Amino acid sequence: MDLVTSIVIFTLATFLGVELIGRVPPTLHTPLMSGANAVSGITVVGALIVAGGGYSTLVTALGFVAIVLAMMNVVGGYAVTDRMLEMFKSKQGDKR
Amino acid sequence: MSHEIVQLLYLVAAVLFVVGLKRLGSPATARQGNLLSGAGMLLAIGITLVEVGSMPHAPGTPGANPALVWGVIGGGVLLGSGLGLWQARAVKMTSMPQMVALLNGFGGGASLVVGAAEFLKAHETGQNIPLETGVVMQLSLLIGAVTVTGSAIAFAKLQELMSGKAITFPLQNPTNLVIFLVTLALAGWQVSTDVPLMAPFLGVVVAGLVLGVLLVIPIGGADMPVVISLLNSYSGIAAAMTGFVIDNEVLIISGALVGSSGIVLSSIMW
Repeated sequence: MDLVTSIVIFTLATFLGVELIGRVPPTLHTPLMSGANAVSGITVVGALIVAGGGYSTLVTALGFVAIVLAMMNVVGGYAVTDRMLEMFKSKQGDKR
Repeated sequence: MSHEIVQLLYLVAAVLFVVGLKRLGSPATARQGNLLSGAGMLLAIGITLVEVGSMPHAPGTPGANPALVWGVIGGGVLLGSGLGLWQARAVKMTSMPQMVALLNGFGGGASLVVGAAEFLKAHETGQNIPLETGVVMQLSLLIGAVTVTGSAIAFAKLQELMSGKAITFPLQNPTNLVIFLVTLALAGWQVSTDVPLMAPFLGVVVAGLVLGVLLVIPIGGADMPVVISLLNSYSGIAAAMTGFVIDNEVLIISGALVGSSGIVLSSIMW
């Protein structure tokens, strides 16, 4: 993929991210932050490619470290967001 | 799988992130949104594993031994998932903001390590890094490093491992500015040389780590959630920069989404 295409994609996705966050109720601020944090664990794709390349011992070892860190971000991020939202839902139920 | 199918499936994952994040913003759909986004992540990881399986390997490298490569990947995925799940279960509901800070630091750390690995790959062979790759590589190292230590300080303040009070010292802002300018100079040095150099590489990483600390210590505990949201945005930008380095669209799209939505969320929370 050429650089210009990448810059176009990056720029459009940046503006899309701005539009995604509309009027969010304050109770959802932390879950939304946590959910977005889980998405930033997408860097695991880069970690897998680095480790999978098997380029040299040092690079493969760094790939392993990156996979562990990124997977903690991904799995921890989604699980913790789900826990927050689970509580949120039952709270709403109590009010009714 | 052909390259085109891989790219289209990455696009499906990116769409799931977009719809998931949108739904996270409304109480009725938030939990479902998180699940959709998680499905996108699972898809992205699955496609990447298929792609890794078809990567060419030079003889004599660790990659020439498939058992080793899959052992490293499988071990890393299992260990990281296990630790992540354990933390998510163990954390108290009242400790959620610092948990997000911690996880965010791990994500930023992963981007930093991937950037470092890409640099070392070029350094080991002494091969020239193209100008544009060099620029984004410096950014991914710098932003990744700032995210790691910044998140660590945010975590330490909220967890009361250190004082939650704002820490200030004379000439704080000029000091930060000088360190930032030195970092830019080091990055410029690296980008302008023909062969990858170790000294500016280490310099940029260390300066980024120091900057992360200095940027977060003057902020008090009460304002920390806003800082965490901002650092979350940084880790997204770091992921997008890593996407430019390894030429991967799904990283660029998702990183940019998190980068900009995090900044908007910080300003709403402020």
